[in-house]
Amino acid sequence: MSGTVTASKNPARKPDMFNMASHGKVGMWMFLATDALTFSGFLIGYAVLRARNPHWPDPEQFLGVALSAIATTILIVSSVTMVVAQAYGENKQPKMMARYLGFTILGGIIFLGIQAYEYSHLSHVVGQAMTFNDFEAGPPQFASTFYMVTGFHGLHVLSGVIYLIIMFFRTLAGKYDNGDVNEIEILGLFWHFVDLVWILVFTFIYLI
Amino acid sequence: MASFSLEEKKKLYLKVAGYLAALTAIELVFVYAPIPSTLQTILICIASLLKAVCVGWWYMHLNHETNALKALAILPFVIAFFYATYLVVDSKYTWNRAASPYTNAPAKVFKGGHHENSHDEAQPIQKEEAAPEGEESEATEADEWN
Repeated sequence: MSGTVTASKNPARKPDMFNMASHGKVGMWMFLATDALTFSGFLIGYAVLRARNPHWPDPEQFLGVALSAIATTILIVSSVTMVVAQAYGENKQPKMMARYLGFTILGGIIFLGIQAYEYSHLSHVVGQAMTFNDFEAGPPQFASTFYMVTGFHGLHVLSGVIYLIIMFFRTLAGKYDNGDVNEIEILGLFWHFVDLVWILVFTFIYLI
Repeated sequence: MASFSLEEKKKLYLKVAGYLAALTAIELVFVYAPIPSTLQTILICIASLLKAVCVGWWYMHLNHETNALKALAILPFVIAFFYATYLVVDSKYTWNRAASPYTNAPAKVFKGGHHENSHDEAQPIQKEEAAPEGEESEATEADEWN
Protein backbone atom coordinates (compact mmCIF):
# COMPACT_ATOMS: atom_id res chain seq x y z
CA MET A 1 0.00 0.00 0.00
CA SER A 2 2.58 2.49 1.09
CA GLY A 3 4.89 1.66 -1.78
CA THR A 4 2.30 2.62 -4.39
CA VAL A 5 -0.40 5.21 -3.91
CA THR A 6 0.93 6.66 -0.69
CA ALA A 7 4.58 7.00 -1.63
CA SER A 8 6.21 10.39 -1.40
CA LYS A 9 5.58 12.68 -4.37
CA ASN A 10 9.22 13.71 -4.32
CA PRO A 11 10.97 11.66 -7.05
CA ALA A 12 14.40 12.51 -5.64
CA ARG A 13 13.62 10.88 -2.31
CA LYS A 14 15.48 7.65 -1.69
CA PRO A 15 13.82 4.58 -0.14
CA ASP A 16 13.99 4.85 3.63
CA MET A 17 13.12 2.81 6.70
CA PHE A 18 9.43 3.59 6.20
CA ASN A 19 9.44 2.41 2.57
CA MET A 20 8.85 5.95 1.31
CA ALA A 21 5.61 6.33 3.21
CA SER A 22 4.49 9.96 3.10
CA HIS A 23 5.58 12.24 5.90
CA GLY A 24 1.94 12.76 6.83
CA LYS A 25 1.44 9.06 7.27
CA VAL A 26 4.56 8.59 9.40
CA GLY A 27 3.50 11.65 11.41
CA MET A 28 0.06 10.16 12.00
CA TRP A 29 1.63 6.90 13.17
CA MET A 30 3.80 8.84 15.62
CA PHE A 31 0.75 10.72 16.90
CA LEU A 32 -1.14 7.44 17.29
CA ALA A 33 1.78 5.93 19.23
CA THR A 34 1.68 8.81 21.73
CA ASP A 35 -2.10 8.69 21.87
CA ALA A 36 -1.92 4.97 22.58
CA LEU A 37 0.31 5.76 25.56
CA THR A 38 -2.25 8.29 26.83
CA PHE A 39 -5.02 5.70 26.64
CA SER A 40 -2.69 3.19 28.28
CA GLY A 41 -2.18 5.62 31.16
CA PHE A 42 -5.94 5.90 31.70
CA LEU A 43 -6.52 2.16 31.47
CA ILE A 44 -3.60 1.36 33.77
CA GLY A 45 -4.90 3.92 36.29
CA TYR A 46 -8.27 2.19 36.09
CA ALA A 47 -6.65 -1.23 36.59
CA VAL A 48 -4.65 -0.06 39.61
CA LEU A 49 -7.68 1.54 41.30
CA ARG A 50 -9.67 -1.58 40.65
CA ALA A 51 -6.96 -3.93 41.89
CA ARG A 52 -6.60 -1.90 45.10
CA ASN A 53 -10.31 -1.92 45.88
CA PRO A 54 -11.77 -5.28 46.94
CA HIS A 55 -15.29 -3.82 46.79
CA TRP A 56 -15.15 -2.86 43.11
CA PRO A 57 -18.58 -3.61 41.62
CA ASP A 58 -19.19 -5.99 38.74
CA PRO A 59 -19.51 -3.70 35.67
CA GLU A 60 -21.96 -6.11 34.10
CA GLN A 61 -24.50 -5.26 36.83
CA PHE A 62 -24.41 -1.50 36.31
CA LEU A 63 -23.30 -0.81 32.74
CA GLY A 64 -25.24 -1.62 29.60
CA VAL A 65 -23.13 -4.40 28.13
CA ALA A 66 -25.62 -5.31 25.40
CA LEU A 67 -26.00 -1.71 24.23
CA SER A 68 -22.25 -1.22 24.23
CA ALA A 69 -21.81 -4.44 22.25
CA ILE A 70 -24.12 -2.92 19.61
CA ALA A 71 -22.06 0.29 19.68
CA THR A 72 -18.89 -1.82 19.25
CA THR A 73 -20.39 -3.56 16.23
CA ILE A 74 -21.37 -0.21 14.70
CA LEU A 75 -17.84 1.11 15.17
CA ILE A 76 -16.39 -2.04 13.58
CA VAL A 77 -18.77 -1.69 10.63
CA SER A 78 -17.72 1.95 10.25
CA SER A 79 -14.11 0.77 10.08
CA VAL A 80 -15.10 -1.55 7.23
CA THR A 81 -16.83 1.28 5.34
CA MET A 82 -13.75 3.47 5.90
CA VAL A 83 -11.35 0.93 4.43
CA VAL A 84 -13.74 0.22 1.52
CA ALA A 85 -13.95 3.99 0.85
CA GLN A 86 -10.18 4.07 0.59
CA ALA A 87 -10.21 1.10 -1.79
CA TYR A 88 -12.70 2.92 -4.05
CA GLY A 89 -10.49 6.01 -3.96
CA GLU A 90 -7.47 4.00 -5.08
CA ASN A 91 -9.65 2.62 -7.87
CA LYS A 92 -10.44 6.21 -8.98
CA GLN A 93 -14.11 6.03 -8.06
CA PRO A 94 -14.54 9.22 -5.99
CA LYS A 95 -18.34 9.08 -5.91
CA MET A 96 -18.33 5.64 -4.32
CA MET A 97 -15.58 6.80 -1.97
CA ALA A 98 -17.74 9.74 -0.87
CA ARG A 99 -20.69 7.40 -0.35
CA TYR A 100 -18.72 5.08 1.92
CA LEU A 101 -17.22 8.05 3.78
CA GLY A 102 -20.83 9.10 4.38
CA PHE A 103 -21.62 5.66 5.84
CA THR A 104 -18.57 5.99 8.09
CA ILE A 105 -19.75 9.40 9.32
CA LEU A 106 -23.17 7.91 10.01
CA GLY A 107 -21.59 5.09 12.04
CA GLY A 108 -19.62 7.60 14.11
CA ILE A 109 -22.70 9.72 14.79
CA ILE A 110 -24.76 6.67 15.83
CA PHE A 111 -21.95 5.60 18.17
CA LEU A 112 -21.90 9.06 19.77
CA GLY A 113 -25.70 8.99 20.09
CA ILE A 114 -25.55 5.64 21.90
CA GLN A 115 -22.88 7.00 24.22
CA ALA A 116 -24.92 10.13 24.99
CA TYR A 117 -27.97 7.97 25.71
CA GLU A 118 -25.92 5.73 28.00
CA TYR A 119 -24.50 8.69 29.94
CA SER A 120 -27.97 10.18 30.33
CA HIS A 121 -29.37 6.85 31.51
CA LEU A 122 -26.55 6.04 33.95
CA SER A 123 -26.74 9.41 35.66
CA HIS A 124 -30.45 8.99 36.42
CA VAL A 125 -30.85 5.39 37.62
CA VAL A 126 -32.55 5.45 41.01
CA GLY A 127 -30.23 4.14 43.71
CA GLN A 128 -27.39 3.53 41.24
CA ALA A 129 -26.85 6.97 39.72
CA MET A 130 -23.37 7.53 38.36
CA THR A 131 -21.97 11.02 38.05
CA PHE A 132 -18.41 12.00 37.31
CA ASN A 133 -17.42 12.10 40.98
CA ASP A 134 -20.00 9.95 42.70
CA PHE A 135 -21.63 6.55 42.49
CA GLU A 136 -24.55 5.70 44.77
CA ALA A 137 -23.98 1.95 44.75
CA GLY A 138 -20.22 1.68 45.04
CA PRO A 139 -16.87 3.42 45.11
CA PRO A 140 -16.88 6.79 43.30
CA GLN A 141 -13.73 5.77 41.40
CA PHE A 142 -15.87 3.30 39.46
CA ALA A 143 -17.88 6.17 37.99
CA SER A 144 -14.94 8.56 37.58
CA THR A 145 -12.79 6.10 35.68
CA PHE A 146 -15.72 5.02 33.53
CA TYR A 147 -16.54 8.58 32.44
CA MET A 148 -12.87 9.52 32.09
CA VAL A 149 -11.94 6.66 29.76
CA THR A 150 -15.13 6.47 27.71
CA GLY A 151 -15.40 10.27 27.56
CA PHE A 152 -11.84 10.63 26.30
CA HIS A 153 -12.57 8.02 23.66
CA GLY A 154 -15.83 9.77 22.80
CA LEU A 155 -13.92 12.98 22.16
CA HIS A 156 -11.73 11.02 19.75
CA VAL A 157 -14.82 9.76 17.93
CA LEU A 158 -16.18 13.31 17.76
CA SER A 159 -12.84 14.57 16.37
CA GLY A 160 -12.87 11.71 13.89
CA VAL A 161 -16.39 12.55 12.72
CA ILE A 162 -15.41 16.22 12.18
CA TYR A 163 -12.26 15.07 10.34
CA LEU A 164 -14.39 12.70 8.23
CA ILE A 165 -16.89 15.44 7.35
CA ILE A 166 -14.08 17.73 6.16
CA MET A 167 -12.59 14.97 3.99
CA PHE A 168 -16.06 14.06 2.71
CA PHE A 169 -16.55 17.57 1.33
CA ARG A 170 -13.01 17.60 -0.09
CA THR A 171 -13.87 14.35 -1.89
CA LEU A 172 -17.06 15.88 -3.30
CA ALA A 173 -14.97 18.86 -4.44
CA GLY A 174 -12.88 16.47 -6.55
CA LYS A 175 -9.60 16.65 -4.61
CA TYR A 176 -9.01 12.89 -4.87
CA ASP A 177 -10.25 12.20 -8.38
CA ASN A 178 -6.72 11.29 -9.52
CA GLY A 179 -6.51 8.23 -7.23
CA ASP A 180 -3.97 9.74 -4.86
CA VAL A 181 -5.72 8.95 -1.58
CA ASN A 182 -2.81 9.44 0.78
CA GLU A 183 -4.84 11.92 2.86
CA ILE A 184 -7.75 9.48 3.05
CA GLU A 185 -5.39 6.75 4.19
CA ILE A 186 -4.13 9.03 6.98
CA LEU A 187 -7.73 9.72 8.01
CA GLY A 188 -8.35 5.97 7.90
CA LEU A 189 -5.44 5.33 10.26
CA PHE A 190 -6.99 7.67 12.82
CA TRP A 191 -10.45 6.15 12.47
CA HIS A 192 -9.20 2.56 12.74
CA PHE A 193 -7.17 3.54 15.80
CA VAL A 194 -10.35 4.88 17.44
CA ASP A 195 -11.99 1.52 16.66
CA LEU A 196 -9.00 -0.44 17.97
CA VAL A 197 -8.93 1.52 21.23
CA TRP A 198 -12.67 1.03 21.73
CA ILE A 199 -12.21 -2.74 21.41
CA LEU A 200 -9.81 -2.59 24.37
CA VAL A 201 -11.92 -0.09 26.35
CA PHE A 202 -15.03 -2.23 25.86
CA THR A 203 -13.18 -5.27 27.15
CA PHE A 204 -11.55 -3.69 30.20
CA ILE A 205 -14.37 -1.36 31.30
CA TYR A 206 -17.48 -3.33 30.39
CA LEU A 207 -16.66 -7.02 30.15
CA ILE A 208 -14.01 -7.87 32.74
CA MET B 1 -2.12 -4.25 -1.70
CA ALA B 2 -2.48 -2.15 -4.79
CA SER B 3 -2.04 -5.30 -6.89
CA PHE B 4 -5.33 -6.65 -5.56
CA SER B 5 -8.51 -5.82 -7.42
CA LEU B 6 -11.26 -3.81 -5.76
CA GLU B 7 -13.46 -6.89 -5.41
CA GLU B 8 -10.65 -8.88 -3.79
CA LYS B 9 -10.03 -6.08 -1.32
CA LYS B 10 -13.73 -5.80 -0.43
CA LYS B 11 -13.93 -9.56 0.05
CA LEU B 12 -10.92 -9.49 2.39
CA TYR B 13 -12.27 -6.56 4.44
CA LEU B 14 -15.68 -8.20 4.83
CA LYS B 15 -14.02 -11.45 5.87
CA VAL B 16 -12.06 -9.60 8.57
CA ALA B 17 -15.28 -7.85 9.68
CA GLY B 18 -16.84 -11.31 10.04
CA TYR B 19 -13.95 -12.39 12.27
CA LEU B 20 -14.37 -9.26 14.39
CA ALA B 21 -18.12 -9.77 14.78
CA ALA B 22 -17.58 -13.44 15.68
CA LEU B 23 -14.94 -12.54 18.27
CA THR B 24 -17.30 -9.95 19.81
CA ALA B 25 -20.02 -12.59 20.06
CA ILE B 26 -17.54 -15.03 21.63
CA GLU B 27 -16.57 -12.37 24.19
CA LEU B 28 -20.21 -11.95 25.20
CA VAL B 29 -20.58 -15.72 25.54
CA PHE B 30 -17.55 -15.73 27.88
CA VAL B 31 -19.09 -12.92 29.96
CA TYR B 32 -22.27 -14.86 30.68
CA ALA B 33 -20.80 -18.39 30.68
CA PRO B 34 -20.52 -20.12 34.08
CA ILE B 35 -16.71 -20.37 34.12
CA PRO B 36 -14.14 -19.34 36.77
CA SER B 37 -13.52 -15.59 36.73
CA THR B 38 -9.76 -15.88 36.15
CA LEU B 39 -10.26 -18.11 33.13
CA GLN B 40 -13.04 -15.80 31.94
CA THR B 41 -10.74 -12.76 32.17
CA ILE B 42 -7.94 -14.52 30.28
CA LEU B 43 -10.26 -15.71 27.50
CA ILE B 44 -11.88 -12.28 27.08
CA CYS B 45 -8.45 -10.59 26.97
CA ILE B 46 -7.23 -13.04 24.29
CA ALA B 47 -10.36 -12.44 22.16
CA SER B 48 -9.96 -8.68 22.58
CA LEU B 49 -6.28 -8.71 21.61
CA LEU B 50 -7.06 -10.83 18.55
CA LYS B 51 -9.62 -8.20 17.49
CA ALA B 52 -7.13 -5.38 18.00
CA VAL B 53 -4.51 -7.27 15.94
CA CYS B 54 -7.04 -7.85 13.14
CA VAL B 55 -7.83 -4.13 12.94
CA GLY B 56 -4.17 -3.11 13.02
CA TRP B 57 -2.95 -5.77 10.62
CA TRP B 58 -5.58 -5.57 7.86
CA TYR B 59 -7.48 -2.31 8.23
CA MET B 60 -4.47 -0.18 9.17
CA HIS B 61 -2.41 -2.12 6.59
CA LEU B 62 0.42 -2.97 8.97
CA ASN B 63 0.87 -6.20 6.98
CA HIS B 64 2.23 -4.09 4.09
CA GLU B 65 4.44 -1.78 6.16
CA THR B 66 8.12 -1.97 6.93
CA ASN B 67 9.41 -3.43 10.18
CA ALA B 68 10.30 0.10 11.38
CA LEU B 69 6.68 1.25 11.08
CA LYS B 70 5.44 -1.98 12.67
CA ALA B 71 7.79 -1.38 15.60
CA LEU B 72 6.53 2.20 15.92
CA ALA B 73 2.96 0.90 16.14
CA ILE B 74 3.65 -1.95 18.55
CA LEU B 75 6.10 -0.25 20.93
CA PRO B 76 3.51 1.72 22.99
CA PHE B 77 1.55 -1.44 23.71
CA VAL B 78 4.69 -3.30 24.82
CA ILE B 79 5.65 -0.42 27.16
CA ALA B 80 2.10 -0.23 28.50
CA PHE B 81 1.98 -3.99 29.11
CA PHE B 82 5.10 -3.99 31.31
CA TYR B 83 4.06 -0.79 33.09
CA ALA B 84 0.58 -2.17 33.79
CA THR B 85 1.94 -5.50 35.00
CA TYR B 86 4.29 -3.78 37.43
CA LEU B 87 1.71 -1.32 38.79
CA VAL B 88 -1.12 -3.83 39.17
CA VAL B 89 1.10 -6.37 40.92
CA ASP B 90 2.54 -3.59 43.10
CA SER B 91 -0.91 -2.33 44.05
CA LYS B 92 -2.13 -5.84 44.86
CA TYR B 93 0.63 -6.42 47.38
CA THR B 94 0.56 -3.00 49.04
CA TRP B 95 -3.13 -2.79 49.85
CA ASN B 96 -2.52 -1.95 53.52
CA ARG B 97 -0.22 0.91 52.67
CA ALA B 98 -1.40 4.41 53.60
CA ALA B 99 -2.89 6.34 50.71
CA SER B 100 -0.03 8.78 50.63
CA PRO B 101 3.36 8.40 52.27
CA TYR B 102 3.75 12.17 52.20
CA THR B 103 0.60 13.31 54.03
CA ASN B 104 0.09 10.27 56.29
CA ALA B 105 -3.56 10.36 55.20
CA PRO B 106 -5.47 7.13 55.77
CA ALA B 107 -6.45 5.04 52.78
CA LYS B 108 -10.17 5.21 52.06
CA VAL B 109 -11.90 1.90 51.55
CA PHE B 110 -15.41 1.35 50.30
CA LYS B 111 -17.22 -1.16 52.48
CA GLY B 112 -20.69 -2.06 51.24
CA GLY B 113 -22.77 1.13 51.28
CA HIS B 114 -20.66 3.73 52.99
CA HIS B 115 -17.11 4.96 52.96
CA GLU B 116 -14.83 4.22 55.86
CA ASN B 117 -11.29 5.15 56.65
CA SER B 118 -8.90 2.28 56.98
CA HIS B 119 -7.77 3.76 60.31
CA ASP B 120 -10.22 4.79 63.01
CA GLU B 121 -9.53 8.46 62.56
CA ALA B 122 -7.32 10.48 60.36
CA GLN B 123 -4.18 11.43 62.17
CA PRO B 124 -3.19 15.07 61.77
CA ILE B 125 0.31 15.66 60.53
CA GLN B 126 2.57 16.50 63.43
CA LYS B 127 5.91 18.07 62.96
CA GLU B 128 8.64 16.11 64.65
CA GLU B 129 10.85 18.02 67.00
CA ALA B 130 14.33 18.43 65.71
CA ALA B 131 16.59 15.74 67.08
CA PRO B 132 19.61 16.90 69.03
CA GLU B 133 22.83 16.93 67.12
CA GLY B 134 24.46 13.56 66.84
CA GLU B 135 21.18 11.65 67.32
CA GLU B 136 19.29 10.36 64.35
CA SER B 137 15.49 10.47 64.15
CA GLU B 138 13.86 7.14 64.90
CA ALA B 139 11.54 7.48 61.96
CA THR B 140 12.94 5.70 58.98
CA GLU B 141 11.96 5.70 55.38
CA ALA B 142 10.33 2.32 55.89
CA ASP B 143 8.07 3.74 58.59
CA GLU B 144 6.86 6.43 56.28
CA TRP B 145 5.67 3.85 53.77
CA ASN B 146 3.92 1.60 56.32
